[in-house]
Amino acid sequence: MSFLYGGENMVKIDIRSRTPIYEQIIESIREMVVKGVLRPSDKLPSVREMAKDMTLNPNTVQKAYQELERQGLICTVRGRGTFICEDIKPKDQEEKINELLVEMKKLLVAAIYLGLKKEEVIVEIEKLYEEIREVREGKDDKR
Amino acid sequence: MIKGENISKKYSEAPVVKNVDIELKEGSIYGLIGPNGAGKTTLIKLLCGIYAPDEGTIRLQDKNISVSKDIRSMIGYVPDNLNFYPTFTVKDMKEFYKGMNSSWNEDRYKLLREIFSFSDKKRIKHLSKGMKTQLSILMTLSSMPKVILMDEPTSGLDPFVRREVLNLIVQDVSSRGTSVLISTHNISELEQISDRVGFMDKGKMVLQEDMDDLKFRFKKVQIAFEDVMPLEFEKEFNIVSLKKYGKVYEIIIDEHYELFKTRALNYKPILMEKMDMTLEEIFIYRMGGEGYAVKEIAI
Repeated sequence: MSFLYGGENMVKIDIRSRTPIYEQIIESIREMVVKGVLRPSDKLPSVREMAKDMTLNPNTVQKAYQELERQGLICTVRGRGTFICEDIKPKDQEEKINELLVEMKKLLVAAIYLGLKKEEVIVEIEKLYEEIREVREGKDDKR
Repeated sequence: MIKGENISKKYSEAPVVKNVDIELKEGSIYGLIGPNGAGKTTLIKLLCGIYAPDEGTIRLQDKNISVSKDIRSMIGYVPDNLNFYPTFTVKDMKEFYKGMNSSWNEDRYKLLREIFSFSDKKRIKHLSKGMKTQLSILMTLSSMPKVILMDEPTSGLDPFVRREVLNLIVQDVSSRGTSVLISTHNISELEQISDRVGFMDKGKMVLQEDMDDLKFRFKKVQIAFEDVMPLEFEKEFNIVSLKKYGKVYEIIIDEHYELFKTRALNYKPILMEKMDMTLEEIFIYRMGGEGYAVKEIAI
């Protein structure tokens, strides 16, 4: 199995980015799950396949998988492979949430600088929230 | 898998490699970086048994490589400057390698042969530098070594072949658990494929660490205070690299960010943000501290 989706590599890695590669793998898979592109019980490529497809060090991929497993997003079944967990229970996410809030704060500073009011920001966030939900539910209907 | 302990080597008076400890683990890719003349090539030649160390030992699977020829044959070497017999053809070269290596894998050779573009009848002396490197990589991978040592393997390759070669190395490591060492000046390439890095300078190993630990440890921080940076702050954190844009200082910290943050908050900064660093930035920062600064000259 190749880990291709719509002709592109599903996991997006930018080797010029400052973010460590194993974090990029984690973020990329998490994003796919949130957007509903990867769904519970979907199979992920093996460490070896992903290392080959993306020309990455297998230990780096292994480390990303271990972390995703620790976070309760993916499950490994011995002899069968790695899958998105049936029942995703986010664990130890406090640190990640804090990081996310820091990012949100930066964006909010930019928004205030551009003259957006509090109410406008809230309206825009609600719109985005709906948009993401629609995409997910739209995909639900197709299946 | 291969382990060098306290190895030193000198050609004339001054040692070129000084008391280096190095270990290449199974299924791992080690990236060796350092300025020109740091001793990288000599270290590689010591590791593959071309030179015997003046001091220290190199062991592969717990056997001293200077003593055992069988052990040495498990090591594949891709040199920077290739000295094959110049009048040999590609095919002669292959027969030579095949005869020399008991672990030669003909199927693999045929498979890999497809990727490389030179003809079997071409003589070595008519090959370009990049083609010679390709040939050397082809021979090494077909010999199925346990350890592969590569001295700037990608320096003469075009971008397509380079990608292909890096991909083959990754595959060999993940399928056979090969230990690989790559020396290069292309640092972003290492960032992609290696899991451990060593910085060498003036014959010494300045720093040796797992890539992820390295990236976790070194962070760039932007920090601003109401007034200028307090002197006590500068002292407490032993700030070496410092840039200033208006009120904002850009500093590099060499410790866990959370620990830094707790202590730094005592100085009531009005802005504090961390940024990840690229391997290249860490290298330049770390080597700059060793007195190997690239002087900024404007012409």
